[in-house]
Amino acid sequence: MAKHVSHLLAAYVQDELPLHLRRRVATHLLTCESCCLALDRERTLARTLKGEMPILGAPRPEQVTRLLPGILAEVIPPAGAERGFAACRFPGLGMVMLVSLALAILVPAMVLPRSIAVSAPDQPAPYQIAATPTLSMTDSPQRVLPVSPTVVAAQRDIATEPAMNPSPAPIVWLPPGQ
Amino acid sequence: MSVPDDGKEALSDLIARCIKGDQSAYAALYDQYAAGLYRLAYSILLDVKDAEDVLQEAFIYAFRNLHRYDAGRGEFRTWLYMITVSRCRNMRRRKLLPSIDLGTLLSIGQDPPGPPHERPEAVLARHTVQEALQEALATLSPRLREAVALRYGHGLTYREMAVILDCPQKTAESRVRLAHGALEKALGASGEFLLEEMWSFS
Repeated sequence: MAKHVSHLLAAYVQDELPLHLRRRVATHLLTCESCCLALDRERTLARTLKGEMPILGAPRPEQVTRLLPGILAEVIPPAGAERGFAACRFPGLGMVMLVSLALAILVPAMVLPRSIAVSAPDQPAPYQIAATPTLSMTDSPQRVLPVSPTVVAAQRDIATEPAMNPSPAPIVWLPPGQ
Repeated sequence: MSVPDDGKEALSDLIARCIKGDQSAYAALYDQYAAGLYRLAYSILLDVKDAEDVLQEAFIYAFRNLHRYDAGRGEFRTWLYMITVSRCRNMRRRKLLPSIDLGTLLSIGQDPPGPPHERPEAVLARHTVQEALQEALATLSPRLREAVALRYGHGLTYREMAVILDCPQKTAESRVRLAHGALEKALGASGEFLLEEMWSFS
């Protein structure tokens, strides 16, 4: 028996098959009982869909009529409500206000001097780091590096240099009467 | 479906009046397309409240952007469908989880208008079939539901569907075919029986 044609039956019922496929289906239907039954089912379904779908969900007249005022209210705004008083009297007022606001923000930002924020304190100079003695934790015999006279002089300067920003004197709280 | 020339002229006149702010022209356009767009939104979302919200959003967007509609690029109806499908997708994203209003599913207090002069048995059968169909549609993926809604609910061609769904024409075709298979499975044996019963009354 030739291959079943059930996949072509929907198109066959709706007369949408090209001629060669239509002939193939018709020939097969002469000998295949199951495809004939499937064709009957397909015809019944197609007839039902054609008959029932056009009335499925058909609205009652008042159902659609009552929606119209809401739609018109959205589409056609009431006369006079379209533009406010200010917009009628001063048509460019909105644009002028917008430009003024933009200028008020931008001009000070461009004209006023910029402030520079310093977030970290001054770092120690490299020679100050080099002069700091480092402890060695290894087992190897400690080797003392010769200290150059320049470093010694620098260390002396640091020790004697007055503090750049001396700390304020500590406030000592004394109980009343002392 | 093409609009006759007189209709096209009337439509372009109506659109021109809307752009000038004529309220009666807006109302006329709304009356012409609202029911169809609501049905489309409902078929995709399967929820009355959501469909109403989508209808409102779609019309507000369309009316505000009427000046962008170009008659040379497609029909006005296609443009409106595109907007509606897009709003339905947005609504789905907003909700994340699909929810079906139970009252709607059971159609409490609102029978869909069927063909006139139907026998009571036929009305009952149609009612049951509508319920089964809605349940089956709820099992479809949103893309497949869109395809079914446009193809069967609005009788669009695959070319129109491709424009609205923003996909190649072949994709639109395959979505409809996939939807067929999925609906058949979802309806199952009970659905088949219901459909046959309904068609026996008509």
